[in-house]
Amino acid sequence: MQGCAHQAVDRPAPSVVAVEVKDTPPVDLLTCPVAPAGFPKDAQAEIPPAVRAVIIDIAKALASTRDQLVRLVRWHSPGACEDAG
Amino acid sequence: MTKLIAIAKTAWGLLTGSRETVLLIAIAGAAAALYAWGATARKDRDQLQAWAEKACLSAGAQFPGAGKKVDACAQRIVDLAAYERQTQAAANTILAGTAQRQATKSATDTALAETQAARRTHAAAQMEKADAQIAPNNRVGPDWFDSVNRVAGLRAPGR
Repeated sequence: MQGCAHQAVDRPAPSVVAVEVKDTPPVDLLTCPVAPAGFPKDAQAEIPPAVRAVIIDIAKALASTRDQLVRLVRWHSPGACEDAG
Repeated sequence: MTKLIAIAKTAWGLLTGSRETVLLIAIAGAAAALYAWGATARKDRDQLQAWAEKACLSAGAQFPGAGKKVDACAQRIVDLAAYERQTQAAANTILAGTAQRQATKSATDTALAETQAARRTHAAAQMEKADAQIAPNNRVGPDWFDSVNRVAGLRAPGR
């Protein structure tokens, strides 16, 4: 190493490099979730309890996952998905 | 002091015949002392020079020798020290900003999570109520579907 350094010539002063690393995910990962349209207002049906329970569970899971996604998007883009929040 | 001089004068007087010898010994002693002093100085200088060369090589410059007006090595060391200082300061500023933003984000997210959880709990309670009102014939109507829409966070129908 020092043998190489013998050839050292005048160098310009090193410029300051301190970069903030932005860890932003791809844009499509930050897309706000779009809620699908709900059941019609005048809907009628005959649904046994076991099936109703599954429908309710799916609805809860959808809401929970959506909320979580909105949190994640807002973590990266504060204030985003205002209408989805 | 005067006594000492007197004693020296007396001794000098007694040294008839061997004065030259004494003078020679004194001169030889002085020369040896001067030589030793010079050797030490040379050794110190050599060590300093070796240190300076090493320091300059480490900094990526060449030691031009002592006393040069245009000293690329000294300039290089000054540049490096400034670089270190300024880079550290810039990095600290960035880190402080990041920490601040992180804290804000965290607080905002906690508030949002609480709001969402409260809304989900409220919708779930309403859903439970609506489901409990279903007759044994299992006919479900608009109230029940409306509750499902709300639990799932679906858009209002018919838009």
